[in-house]
Amino acid sequence: MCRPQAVRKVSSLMSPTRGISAFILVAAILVLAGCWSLPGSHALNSNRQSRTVSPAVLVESVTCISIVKSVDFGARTITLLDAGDRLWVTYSVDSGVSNLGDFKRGDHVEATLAKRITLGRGTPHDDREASLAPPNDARVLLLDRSYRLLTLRRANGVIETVKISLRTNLSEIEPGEAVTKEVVNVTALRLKKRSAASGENR
Amino acid sequence: MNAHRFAWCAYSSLRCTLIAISTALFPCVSLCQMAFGEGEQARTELENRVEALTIFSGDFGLASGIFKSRATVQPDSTSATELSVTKVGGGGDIGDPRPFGNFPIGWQPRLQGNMGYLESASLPGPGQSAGDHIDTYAIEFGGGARFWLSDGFSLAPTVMALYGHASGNYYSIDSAHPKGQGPLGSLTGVALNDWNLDTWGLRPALDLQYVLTVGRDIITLTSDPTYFRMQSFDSSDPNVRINGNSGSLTNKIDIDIPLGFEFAGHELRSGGYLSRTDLFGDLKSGLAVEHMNEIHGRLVMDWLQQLWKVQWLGIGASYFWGTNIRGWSAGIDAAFRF
Repeated sequence: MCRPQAVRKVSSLMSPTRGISAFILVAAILVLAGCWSLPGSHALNSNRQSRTVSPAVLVESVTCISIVKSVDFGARTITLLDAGDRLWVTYSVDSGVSNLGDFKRGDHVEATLAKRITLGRGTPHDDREASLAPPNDARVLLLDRSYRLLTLRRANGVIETVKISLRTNLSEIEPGEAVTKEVVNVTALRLKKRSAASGENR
Repeated sequence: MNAHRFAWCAYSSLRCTLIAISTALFPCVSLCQMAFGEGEQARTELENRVEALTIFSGDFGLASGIFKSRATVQPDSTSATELSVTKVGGGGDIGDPRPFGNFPIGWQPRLQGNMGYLESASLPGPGQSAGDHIDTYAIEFGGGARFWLSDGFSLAPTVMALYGHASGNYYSIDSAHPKGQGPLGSLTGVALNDWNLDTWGLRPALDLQYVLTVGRDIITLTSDPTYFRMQSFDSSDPNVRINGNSGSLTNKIDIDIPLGFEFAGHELRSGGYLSRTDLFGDLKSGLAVEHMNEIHGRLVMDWLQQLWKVQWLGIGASYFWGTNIRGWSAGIDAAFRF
């Protein structure tokens, strides 16, 4: 059966009005189009000076699965394997963590770490001593002020994104800025898998 | 690092009501006045309607909700149609923009998909003796790429394929014309009882987007010209076929506002959008709607970087109005960022 109306429908979709609309669209594209730049490229090329005054940027809690190497109940510290760097790192444990004595060497735990970023390289925060974990120098690559996301490029080239606290003054942060990232303490520990040796000891 | 968002909307058991006064929408309405020579026209109108309902149920770009429509094509005739639509779908850009060769252009792959189910029941109006029931389900999937011409402006050409299955029944409350054997059936030669139709379609589209950040607020302007090419490939009745063209143009302004305070450890965000969708071709004639406006509001919690790829999770509601149509929708408002 012949259906000529299909052809008419096509032509109706290509009327002069549509042509004018298409022209306006193309014109809008040309007007709005500028020059795209790779996100963070400005930051990498920046020679921004470090601050002499370094406000702390509080980073919200981060959870990670780690292996316990040792626990010092008296000093309230725990040594965990850093999943990113594959290094043993000793963290101070917050006084609110009541189950510190439950963990033994080899246990797999989910640790909640309170992290802090300090703006300005080599200007440690007053409470830096509270953390035994080594600080990581990095540079601010991107800042999403709306969602409070800070993308950092660490000295070893690793790029990571962290969410900064709502209490942080975002106007203090600019892409390209040098920062120091450090763990303040461990705020929660949860057992994921008991080590075989630990089970025998019990 | 914006715009790589995968939005997902689920409106469960949304009921859509269309009260129409149009023989174009509802071929069973004016059977008494229909002359024999109008059978072909009625069949075309039925095909347009099925095509429009298939697109309406399966396309992720068209709204779902509770609608009431009053067409004015033939004011002296009334009937009512109830629609129930459920849709799950969305689209998003994957990853961060990367350089496009040596050009000062960034690009991201883009994926889009949707599943939808629609129930349509035409109820006979005063003085009418016939109605029909149409079920449509459709699935749509495709993708393309988003090209960033500047830090704020991008365009995303995409192509999607759509499969739809429609089935229906004609019924009569007139004992002289039992279901499937009424005057329309005899005029059009279509067995209107227990018919079913499989349809496929192509959906090329171009999404133009401009993102503007004011303080912490994000304003997004989008324009989406879309074309549908639909064709049936399997029908219970060889006289019922779909071979049509449709189109839509949606222009939208969206604003995303962080509220600056937290609930349960997550910052609350508000916002919404205002949009206008113009329909063309069979989509316009099949639904008897020329354009539709939508205003949407949402209240969501920011989960970005806190729970998998969830950007926000909350509730949202829309109000629709336009040519012959008004309505509302409400449901879960969620967005993901990959």
